[in-house]
Amino acid sequence: MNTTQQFEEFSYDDDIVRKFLIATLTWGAIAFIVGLVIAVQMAYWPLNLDLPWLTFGRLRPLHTNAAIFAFAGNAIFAGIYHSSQRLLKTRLFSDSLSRIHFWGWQLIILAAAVTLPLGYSQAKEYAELEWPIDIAITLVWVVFAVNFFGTIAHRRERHLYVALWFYIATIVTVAILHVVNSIEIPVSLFQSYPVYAGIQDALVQWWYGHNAVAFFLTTPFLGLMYYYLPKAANRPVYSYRLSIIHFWSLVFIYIWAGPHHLLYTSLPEWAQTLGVVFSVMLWAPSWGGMINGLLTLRGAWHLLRTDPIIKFLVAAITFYGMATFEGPLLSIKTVSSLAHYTDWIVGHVHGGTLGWNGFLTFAMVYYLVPLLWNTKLYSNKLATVHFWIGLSGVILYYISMITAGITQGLMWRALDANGRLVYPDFIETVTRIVPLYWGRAIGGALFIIGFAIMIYNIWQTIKRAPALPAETKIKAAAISLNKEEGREVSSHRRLEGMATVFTVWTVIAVLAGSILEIYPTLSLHRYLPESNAVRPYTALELAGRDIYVKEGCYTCHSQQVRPLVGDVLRYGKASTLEESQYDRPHQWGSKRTGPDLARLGKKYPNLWHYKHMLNPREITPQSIMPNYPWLAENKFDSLLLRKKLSIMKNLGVPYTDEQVANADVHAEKQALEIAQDLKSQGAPAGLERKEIVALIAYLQALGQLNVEVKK
Amino acid sequence: MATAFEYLDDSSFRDIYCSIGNSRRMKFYIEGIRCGKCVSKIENIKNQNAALKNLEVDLAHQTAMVELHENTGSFADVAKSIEQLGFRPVPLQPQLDSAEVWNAEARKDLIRLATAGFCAGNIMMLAFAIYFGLEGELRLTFEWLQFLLYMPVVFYVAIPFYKGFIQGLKEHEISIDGPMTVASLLGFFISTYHLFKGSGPIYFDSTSGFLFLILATRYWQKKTRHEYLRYLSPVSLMDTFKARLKNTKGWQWVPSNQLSAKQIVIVEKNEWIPADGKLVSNSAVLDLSLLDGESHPRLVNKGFPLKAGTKLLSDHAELEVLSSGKNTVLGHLLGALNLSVEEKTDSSALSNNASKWLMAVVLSVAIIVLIIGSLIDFNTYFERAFALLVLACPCAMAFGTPLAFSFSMKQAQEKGLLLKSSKVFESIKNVRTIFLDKTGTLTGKNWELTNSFFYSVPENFQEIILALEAESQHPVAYALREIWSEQARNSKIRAEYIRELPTGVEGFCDGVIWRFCSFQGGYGLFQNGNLVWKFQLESKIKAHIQNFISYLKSKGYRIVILSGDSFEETTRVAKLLGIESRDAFSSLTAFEKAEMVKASSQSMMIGDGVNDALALQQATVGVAVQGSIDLALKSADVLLLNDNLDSVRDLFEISAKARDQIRKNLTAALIYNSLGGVAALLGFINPFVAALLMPISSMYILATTWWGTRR
Amino acid sequence: MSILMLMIPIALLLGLCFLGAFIWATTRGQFDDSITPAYRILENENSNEMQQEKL
Repeated sequence: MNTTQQFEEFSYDDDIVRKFLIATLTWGAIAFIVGLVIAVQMAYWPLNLDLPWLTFGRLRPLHTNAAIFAFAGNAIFAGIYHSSQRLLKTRLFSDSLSRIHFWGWQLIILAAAVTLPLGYSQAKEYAELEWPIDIAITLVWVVFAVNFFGTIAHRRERHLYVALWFYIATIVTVAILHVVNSIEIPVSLFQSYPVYAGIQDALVQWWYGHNAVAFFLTTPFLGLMYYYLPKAANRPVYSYRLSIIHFWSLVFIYIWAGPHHLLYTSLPEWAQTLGVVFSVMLWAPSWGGMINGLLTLRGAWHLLRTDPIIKFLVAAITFYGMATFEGPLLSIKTVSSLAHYTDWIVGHVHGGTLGWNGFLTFAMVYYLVPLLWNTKLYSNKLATVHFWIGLSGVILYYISMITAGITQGLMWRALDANGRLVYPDFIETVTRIVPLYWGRAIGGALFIIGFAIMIYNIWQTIKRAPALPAETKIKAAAISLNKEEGREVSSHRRLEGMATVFTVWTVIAVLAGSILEIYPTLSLHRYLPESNAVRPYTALELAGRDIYVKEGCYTCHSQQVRPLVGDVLRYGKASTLEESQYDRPHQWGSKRTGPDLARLGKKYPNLWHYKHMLNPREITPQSIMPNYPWLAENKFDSLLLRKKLSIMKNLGVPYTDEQVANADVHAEKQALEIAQDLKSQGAPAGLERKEIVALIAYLQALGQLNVEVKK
Repeated sequence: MATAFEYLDDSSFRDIYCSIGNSRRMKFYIEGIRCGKCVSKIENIKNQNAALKNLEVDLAHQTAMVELHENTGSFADVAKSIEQLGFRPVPLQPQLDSAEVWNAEARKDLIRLATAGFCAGNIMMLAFAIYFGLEGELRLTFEWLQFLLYMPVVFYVAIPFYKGFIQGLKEHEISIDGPMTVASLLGFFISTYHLFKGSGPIYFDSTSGFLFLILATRYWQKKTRHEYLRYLSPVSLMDTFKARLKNTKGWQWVPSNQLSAKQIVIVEKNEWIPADGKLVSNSAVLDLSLLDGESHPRLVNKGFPLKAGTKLLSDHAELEVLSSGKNTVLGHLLGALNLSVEEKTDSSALSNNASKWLMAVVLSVAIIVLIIGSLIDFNTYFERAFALLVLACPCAMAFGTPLAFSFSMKQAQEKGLLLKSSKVFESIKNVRTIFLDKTGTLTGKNWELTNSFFYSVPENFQEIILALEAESQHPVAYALREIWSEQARNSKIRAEYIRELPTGVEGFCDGVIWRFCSFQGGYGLFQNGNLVWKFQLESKIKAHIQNFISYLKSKGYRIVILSGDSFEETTRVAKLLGIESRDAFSSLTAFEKAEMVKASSQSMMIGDGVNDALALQQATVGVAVQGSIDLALKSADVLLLNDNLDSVRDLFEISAKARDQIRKNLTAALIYNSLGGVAALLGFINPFVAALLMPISSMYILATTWWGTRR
Repeated sequence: MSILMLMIPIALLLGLCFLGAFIWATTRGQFDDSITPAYRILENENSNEMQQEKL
C-alpha cells in the first residue's frame, strides 16, 4: 500500500488499572470492617472500648470517607482509566500523572485514616477531612482532570461515548463542589473554621453532600454501567439515544436537589419546596437510566442464570432504581417529617452504596481482573456464592433499617389522647430498635463475608495468572485530532482540538466566576443583618464546641428542633435561624441516635453532664452512648483561644477587642466557676483545665444564647 | 464478483463524490451492514491502511465516511477492502445524501432545543422560588436573573416562530406561529416593563416553558419523520452515474453526464445503461422493469434505442450515445420530480380550518379587548387580554395536533409504514381512487411456473432445459436461469448439437433428443418427439394482495391498474384480482401514468419503479412499496417497510384515529378556551393562574392524545 | 441567605458550562449518529485477542 503516513503504535496502560483495582479491594476491606465495627457499636456499646480513637463519633466519619472516597473512589478511577483508554483508543495522557494520581490518592486516604480517629475533623458530613488534606485532594483531583482531559485530547476515536460524558461531569462538578464547600480558615495545622456559618454552612454543606452522592456515587458509576454492562453482556445498550438524554437531563437537574436534606429546618420555606420539586423531577431521568440498563439484557436473560457478573450488574441496576425511587419519595415533606433523622435514611443510603455502588464495583472487578491478569476467574461458583450472600446481606441490612427508622419515627411523634407524647423518654425509642441494630450488623457481616470470598477468589485468580506479558503494542491510525508538526493546521483541525481548549476555558470561567462570587460573600458577613438578640459563644463555650466537633457528636445528635408537634413537645420551641448564626461549622446534624440537643442548655445541672459523659448509663441505664472518660483527663487548649476568637471576629462575630485579647483569661475564669460548681456537688477537684468543663460550658449554652432568654 | 473501483480516484469522479469543500472525504453507502460486528470489521480497515485518516460507519444510515490523508491513499483501495469483507460499497453524491442535510438541520434544532430547555428550566426554578414565598432583595435578584435567562429565548430560541409567522402573513394566513410570536414578544415586553416598574406579574417562566414544550414536540415530530430518510439508499441508480467510455486502449471510466453524442460506451453484464443511445453490438437482453414496468426480459437487436436506467442482462454490449445526463429520459424524469425530502410546511401549518378559525377568534378578541380596554384601564385589560392569550393559544393546536401526528406516525411505524409527512393523515381521507402499479407492486419481479403438467415421470427436466438453453440469449432463458438458479449451479448435464428452432431449441443429452419450445400459449418439453412436460411462466401475484383488494372494494374505492407492461399480462393480473378490464391500463410511460393520476384529483398511487415516481408525486397520497428504488421513495409520501400491501389498510385506520383525536383535542380546546377565555376576560383568571392552567391542560392533551392514538 | 448569592450563580454557571459542552458536542456532530456508538464499543479491544486476530 502506498504510504508516506505511519501508523502510530501505542499500548494501553493497564498497570495503573491493576493498581487501582488492588487499592479498591484493600480499602474496601477496611471501609467495610470499620462499618461493621460501628454497626456493632450501636447494638453493643461496650465495643467502643472506652478508647477515644475507637468511639463511634470518630469511626463513623472514617467509615463514610473510606467507603466513598477510598473504596468507591479507587473503583471509579480503575474503571475510568480502563474504559477511557479503550473508548478513546489511546494510552492515558501521562504515565507519571497517572502514578501521581494513584499514590497521591492513597496518601490522602492514609492521612484520612490516621487523622479521623484522632479527632481532626471539620464535622461536615462527607467532608470531614481537615484543610491540609482538602488541599491535597484538590491537587490530586487536578492531576486526575489533566490526565483525563489530556487523554481525550489525544483520542483516536472521534465520537465520545456516553460513558465519557458521565466521567467528564463527575470530574468537573466534583472539583467545583469540593472547592466551594471547603473554603475554610485554618486555626492550626489540624483545625479550621468554615467561612460559612449556621444556615449558610448547612446549605453549602448539603448542596455538596447531596451532589457528592450525585456526582461521586451516581454519575461515574452510571458511566461505568454504560460501559461494563454492554461489554459483559456483549450486546449494545438498549437505546443509545436514551442514554444521552439520561445524561443531559441528570446533570441539569441534579444540582438543585440539595435542600431536601434540610426540610423542616430553619431553611426558608421556598428553598425547601424548591428542593423537593427538583428531587421529585429527578425520578424521571433516573428511571430512564435504570430501564435502559435492564433492557440492555433483553434477549440475554439466560446470562442472569449462568454469569455472576450479570447477576451483580442486574442487582446493582435494580438497587439504583430502588434508591432513586426512594430518594424523591423521602424528599417529599410529609415523608421526610417521619423519616428524617431516623435509620430509614441510613437504610436508603446503604441500599444505594452497598447495592448500587458495591455490586457494580464487584461486577467490574470480576470482569476486569481476569482480563487484566490475562487469565480466567479462579471460580465462578465462588462468585455466585458471593452474590447470594452479599445480596441477602444488603436486603437484611435494608429491611432492618427501614423497620427501625419507621418504628422510631412513629414513636417520636406518637401522641396520646391528651396531646402528650406517648414515649417521652427518648431511650424507650432506642431500646425498641436495638434488636434491629443487631439485624443490621448481621446483614453487614454477611456482606463482608461475601466480600471476603471475593478477595479469596481474586487472590487465587491472580496467583494462578501467568506472568504478566509486556504491554501489547497496538498499531492504529491517528485520527484528525492529532497535531501534525510542520504542516499547516486547517481550521477543521483546530476545531477538533477545541475539546481541550474548551474544557480549560470553562474551568477557568467557572473558577473565575466562583472567585468573583466568593469574594463578596466573604465580605458580606460584615453587612449581614445579624440578630443582636443572640450573643456569641464565650471563649470557653467555643473551646467546648470544638471538642463537640472533634468527638463527632453530630453523628448521633442533631441540633435542630423542627416545627413539628412531636419535636416541639419533646425538645422545646422550634429552632430559629439566629440561634445558629455564629455556628462554624453548623451542627444541625442528620441523625438522631440520641436526642436533639438544640435546647439542652440549663436543662440539667453541670454534675449531670459530668456523670453522663463519663458513664451515660449512670444516668440512663439503657443508654447506648459510649463513655468519654478521657474528657476528664485531657486538658482543653486555652492557648489557641485568642487566635480562634480573632478569626471568628474577622469572620464577623461581634467579639470586642478585649474579649479577643483576654480569651484565655475569660475561659479559665469560666472554667473555674464550673469546676467549683462540680466540686461542690461531689465531683473530684482539679477539673478546671479539663476538656469536660469546656464541653459542659458549651452544652449548657445550647439554646441559651438568646439574650431575652437570658434575662 | 470483484468490482473495479479505480474510477473513484479519477478526478472527474472525485468532483462528483467527494464531500463539498474536502476532496479527501467520500461517503459510501454500504450494502449489507446489519450488526455491530460489521461496524468493527469495516472500521478495522483503518488499522490496516495507513493512508486512512478516518473511517467511520453509521449503522443507522448504512453508510461509511472515508477520509484520506493529504496527498496519499486511494478511495478505490478502501472500497476494495470493504468489498473483500463481503459488503458492497457504493459512493454517495453529497448533493443527493439526504442524511447530511438532515444532520445539519437536526444539529441546529437540537442546540435551539437545549438552549430553550436550559433557559426555561432555570427560569422556572427561579420563578418557583418566588411562588413558594421568596421575598425581599433576593426576589428582585431572581427576577432579574429570569430576565437575563429570557434573553436567549426571545432573541434566539423563538426565531423560527417569528419566521413562520411572517411567512404565514406573506401567504395571507395567520399560522400557528402567530400566537406563539405574540406570546413570546408580549410576554417579554410586559414582563420587562413590570420588572422595571418594580411591580406587576412576570411571565418569563410560562412563556419560556411553553416555547420549550412546543419546540420539543416539533423536534420529536421531525425526528419521527426522519426515520423515512434511513430507507433512502440511492443504490440502484447510483451506478448509472458512471460509464465505460470506449477508447483506443480499450475503455476508461467517465462520469456518464460527461458523455457526448456519438461516443461509444461499453456495458457489461448486470450493469445499468448509463445513457440514452442505440445498440451498436449485435443483440442484448434487457431488464426494463424499473424504467418501463415491463416484466419480461426483452431481447433487442442492433440499432434498438436503449434508455438510461435499464439494466443489461446479457454479457457485453456497446451503445452509441445519443444523449446523456439531464437529456436522457431518466434525466427528464429526475428533473420533473421534486426530490426535496423535507416538507416545507408541515407541523407549522394549521391542521384544519377549525383551528384557524379558533386562532383568529382568540387573537381578534384579545386585540379588541386590549384596544377597548385601554380606553378604560390599560393595565387591567392588558392583563386580561394577556391571560386570554396565555390560556388559549397553545395546547390544542400548537401542541395537540403535532403530538397526535407524532404518536400516530410512531404507531404507523410499528405497523411497517413510514410517513414522510403527517400531511398524509389529513389528505388520505379524500382519496377516492386507488392507482396500483403492477410490476413490483402487485406482482413480484420474479416469475413462477403455473399450469404445470407432467406427461412422464419427472426426472431432471429442469437441468435438461437449462442445458438446452445454456447458450441462449432468449429472454425466457434468463427467466428460467433465474428461477432455477440452484439447479443451474449444480447441474452436470451438458447438451450437444444444440440447434435453434423458430420457436425454441433442440439438442442431444445422453443420446436422447430433447426439444424445448413454445407450446399452446406456454412451453413444452419433448423427449424424442413426445411431450413430457408442459408449463406456463407468469409473474407471481404477491401475498395478501387479494385481501387488500377486497378491503378496498368493500370500502367503495375505485381500483385502477397502471402498468407499463403488455396488454396481455396486465389484463391477466386484473382478471385474477377481479378488477374490471376497463380499469386496467397497459403499456404506459411514466409520464402517461402521472397524467392519469393527475387527472383524478383525489387519488392514492401505490408503486415502486422509476416509472411510478412521477405518478407517486402527483397523487394525493403516494405509497412506495418495499424494494422500491430510491426515486420512488423520494417522491412518495409513505413507504411500506414490509412486503404486505395490506398494511396500507392500517394507514387508513391510523389516519382516521389521528383525525378523530385532533377533532377531540380541538373540541376540548374549544370548550376550555370558551370557558377560560370568558373567565379571563372578566378578570377571574389572572395571567399567573392562566400560566398554571396552561401546563395542566397540556398534560391533559398529552395524556388523552397518547391514549387516543393507541386505542 | 447571602450564601444563595454564591450558590445560584455557581449552579447557573455550571449549568451554562454543560450547555456549552452540549452545544460544542452537537456542532461537532457527536449526536448525529445515535446507533453505531453503542455497537462500536463492543469491538474486541482486549490487546491479546486483537493480536491473535492480526496473526
